[in-house]
Amino acid sequence: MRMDKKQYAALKELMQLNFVMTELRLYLDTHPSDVEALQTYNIVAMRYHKKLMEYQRRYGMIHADAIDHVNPERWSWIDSPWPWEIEYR
Amino acid sequence: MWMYDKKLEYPVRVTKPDVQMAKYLMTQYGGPDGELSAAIRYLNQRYTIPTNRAKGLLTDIGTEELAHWEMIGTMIYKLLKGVPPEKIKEAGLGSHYAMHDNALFPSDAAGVPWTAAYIQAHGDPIADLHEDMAAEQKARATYEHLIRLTDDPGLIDSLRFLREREVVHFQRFGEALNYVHEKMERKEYY
Repeated sequence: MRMDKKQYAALKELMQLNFVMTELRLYLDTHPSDVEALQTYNIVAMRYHKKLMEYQRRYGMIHADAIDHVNPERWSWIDSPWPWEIEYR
Repeated sequence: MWMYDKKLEYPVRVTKPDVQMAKYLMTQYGGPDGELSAAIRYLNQRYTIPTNRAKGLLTDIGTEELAHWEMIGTMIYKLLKGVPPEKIKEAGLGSHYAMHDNALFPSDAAGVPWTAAYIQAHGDPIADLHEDMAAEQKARATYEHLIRLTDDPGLIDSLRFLREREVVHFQRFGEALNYVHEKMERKEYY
């Protein structure tokens, strides 16, 4: 499945932001009082959720809890690309 | 509970179908030191581990391992996509094809199906965390073998990402283990 350039760039940004969260989450599990890391986590998480909302409104659902639907008359969860079918570049 | 995100943790780029490499990669899909073993090992050990740090870590690393399992599945899916049976047979995956067609199945590179005998849970935090650290090193070594078995630059990039994650997980489990030792020295529990 070949995505257009803009959508792919937006998806890649989501993947990057979410990866920073994954990495910081593990670090915080063993350093729960590192305030600097916690603040970074919060900043990245806020940015991720903002970008996620924008993406889902434009291209369809990434997260099944989404309330930002691209089409109010269609359950887009099944239409948005499946991760193993995307042509990554 | 778990929620699914319709995205990979990191992109999987596959330049061309390669049945032989798909076969080798199966070791990380359903082999002893593979991502499925890792996910089940951690998500199963977490119930009885005594510290909240280790509970958090086993939950979060176990969850990340499921995302790695999906990345390996994506690699195998892409490497086998559209490959006809005769090519699959030539590359030594004829027995796989007989049972599974081009579908994925959790077995190791030699076709041995996944078993819970690959994992352990002793309820002893020192024993369990040492098993987890050993598992991360075994997976790290396996990724190095896999990287040497391919010349596909896209695949190498994804495999290097996964190798790096094993190193990070090993580090975090080591920190959780040190914390357990500290608690024991303070005789907060035995």
